[in-house]
Amino acid sequence: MKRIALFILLALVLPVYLFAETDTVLLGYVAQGNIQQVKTLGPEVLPQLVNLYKVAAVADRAQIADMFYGLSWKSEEAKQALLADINTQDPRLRLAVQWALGRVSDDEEVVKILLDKMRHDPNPLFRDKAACALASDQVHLTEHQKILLYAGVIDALEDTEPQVRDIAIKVLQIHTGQTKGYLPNDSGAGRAAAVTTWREWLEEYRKQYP
Amino acid sequence: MKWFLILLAALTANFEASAQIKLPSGFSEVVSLGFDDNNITPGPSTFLVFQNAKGFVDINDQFAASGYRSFELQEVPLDGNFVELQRTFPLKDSGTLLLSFAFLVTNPEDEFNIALAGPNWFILSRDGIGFWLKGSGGKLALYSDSIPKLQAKIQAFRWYRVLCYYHIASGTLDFALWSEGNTKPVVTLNNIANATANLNSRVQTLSFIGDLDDRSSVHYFVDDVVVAYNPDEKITLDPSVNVPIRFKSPDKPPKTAPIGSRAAGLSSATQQPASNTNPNDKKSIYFEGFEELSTALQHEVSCIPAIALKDFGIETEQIGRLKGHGLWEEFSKIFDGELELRRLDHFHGQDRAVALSVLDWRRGCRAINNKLLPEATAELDNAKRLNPNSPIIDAAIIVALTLGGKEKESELALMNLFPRWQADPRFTVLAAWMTSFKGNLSGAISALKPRAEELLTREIDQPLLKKILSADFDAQGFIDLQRDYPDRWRHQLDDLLLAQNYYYLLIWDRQLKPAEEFVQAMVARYSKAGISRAAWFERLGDISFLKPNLEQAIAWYRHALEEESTRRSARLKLIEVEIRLGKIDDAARERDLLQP
Repeated sequence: MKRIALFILLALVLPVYLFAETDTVLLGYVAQGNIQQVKTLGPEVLPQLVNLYKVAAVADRAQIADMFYGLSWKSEEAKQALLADINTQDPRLRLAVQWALGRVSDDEEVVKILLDKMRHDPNPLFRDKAACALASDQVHLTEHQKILLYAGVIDALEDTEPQVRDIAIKVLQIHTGQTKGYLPNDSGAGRAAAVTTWREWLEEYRKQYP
Repeated sequence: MKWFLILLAALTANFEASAQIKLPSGFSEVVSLGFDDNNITPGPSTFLVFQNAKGFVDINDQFAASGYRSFELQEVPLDGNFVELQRTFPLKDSGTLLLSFAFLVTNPEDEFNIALAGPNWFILSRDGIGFWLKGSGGKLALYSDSIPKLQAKIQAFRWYRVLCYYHIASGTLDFALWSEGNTKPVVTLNNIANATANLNSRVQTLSFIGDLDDRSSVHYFVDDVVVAYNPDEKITLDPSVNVPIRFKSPDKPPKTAPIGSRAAGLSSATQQPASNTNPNDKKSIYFEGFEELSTALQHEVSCIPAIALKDFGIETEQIGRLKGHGLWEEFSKIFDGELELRRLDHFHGQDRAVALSVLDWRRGCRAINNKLLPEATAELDNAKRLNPNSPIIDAAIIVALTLGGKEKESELALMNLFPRWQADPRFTVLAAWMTSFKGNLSGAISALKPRAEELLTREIDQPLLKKILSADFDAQGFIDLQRDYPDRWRHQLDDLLLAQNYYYLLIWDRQLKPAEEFVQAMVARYSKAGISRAAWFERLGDISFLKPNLEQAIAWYRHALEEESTRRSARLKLIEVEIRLGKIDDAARERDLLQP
């Protein structure tokens, strides 16, 4: 019902002259949440999808953000559109945006923003899901960009907030399969030793990709 | 990281043939995949091939690190899945695992991945990925301590061999990499951390895939896969000693073996310059494979071997449907005779018909081997009735008809097969064998020579000849021909069958000069009539290859492609010759022009 509402709402709101044939088809697929059909339209449909995102209501933008996530096609316009909502307090939309950003972009700016959210967002849920995005959804990064991500996450191992330390090591564990003995609730000395190990590891990684 | 595993197909060829391995002392074989044995059996159910909707996997006789065949993977981007060759084996939780394989990539800029994993499957964790080799951007990286460490650049169309000792308890591995043409390894590593630096990371699955992010269009070949086990944790890889397999062309055709088990006979591509190489010492892709099959047929008549699912008309859609219903593994057992007949009740419609047709084909071929023609004919006719679109069943019927002296029927069947199989080297083997069947090779050539010479002087009925030579000419066209030319229909087919057969008989007999003269005359004949000369230019290329004169071969193959740019066989031969001459960039460009 929500999807039908989206379809009707968009059809009423958008000026008629925006409705090319493809727009209508796309609108239908988006309203149905039919990502497989959107895929058949190819990456050329991204600008229209971005336009739909910009004019949609909050709840519907989350649905479109999910679509960006599923498509995993790089798009600067999609990135900019999603970044406009990076500070939204709507949980559904915020999470969808955080997850989708890495799927539409290989921009280091996205990594830095997510690292910042992971460490400094006042909402622990948003911090946690920013970590999820860093762990699983930065799919276009080069090795050099991954090093940037790892550096930021390793820095977070020294955060004063226990939750941040906890989600940071989870990010590293998902990426590497290792903890290198780091325990987020360990003593300061224990954590410091493990962080040193992680930094040495990062240096070894950097040597591979100067 | 996620490794998406979607079962869609299992190959029919038996991969369990020996990969010509000599294992180091203390190791016992766990997996050996050479892809050369042509016995139509899928192997144990633990061997799986994953094929997505647009990419493909197949046994390939174009490139082989050793023996005659390799396994080919072609990835396609943005199709939601990836292609995969996967092999599971009993879980290893201690000791040392030996992993060895060869790979060749045609487009090394694209990504491919090769990994060993344990019960946690293909994620970076203990009991997840233990060994991970990744090719991308023309470079090869080995994951160690969760870092993709660059090891070597990889060149297109060059075979590489990997040997790895995976020490389970210590979480370490030894690694060596050889490049074709080099006796010493280009990379040697000892006692480095495994993929995730995890101790006691168990393994049970080996996997070869394209990329993980659905962006790669990698095209690569895998051969000589060996996994072996030694309970000794401390044994160390010594690359000067522990080379399980060398790059090696086959010295001789495969042994005669039961039904459908003769290999088409192919060899590895090599990049050694022609000045240091006599091509006759190494076997070519189409040419001598054709020759070996022909020789084998001359010595002992049997069915033309099946080497791919499509030989039985089995296409991706059918495989996908069977997979969707969880029936593929069961279905594939028909190829090794393991399927109990009562299990056929699980299959319906076309699936059941195809399954029964394969069983009938096997029985028919067995009967041909045992010289029981009436029985062979009955079985093969039944197979044909069940599966009318199988080229390999038709080929078996032609063999049976020829053996039974049914000349007209065998010619009709050959004509029916021609449009579907004319580009397959096995068709020309079959056609030439039919011609020579009744007598010896010299006798057959002598018998054909006057007719071939007379053919060269004949006037051409251009519209009719174009029609006969077209891909659309089928059994109905043949029947129409007989109706329209009741006294001279065979005469009209001479350009198609007689000329081709005479040429191949001359090649069989290594009479290169007469063959060349004849082909040149056919080129002149077709030039006057405005008929495409592509097939004859290609044959001039083949003759040049055999002389050997590789530069001349390249020129003739290019002439053939100028006449017909979509002539796949000519382009594949051109690629092979360019590789032999070290013209890798040219070969890569030609490879990009290959039509699917």
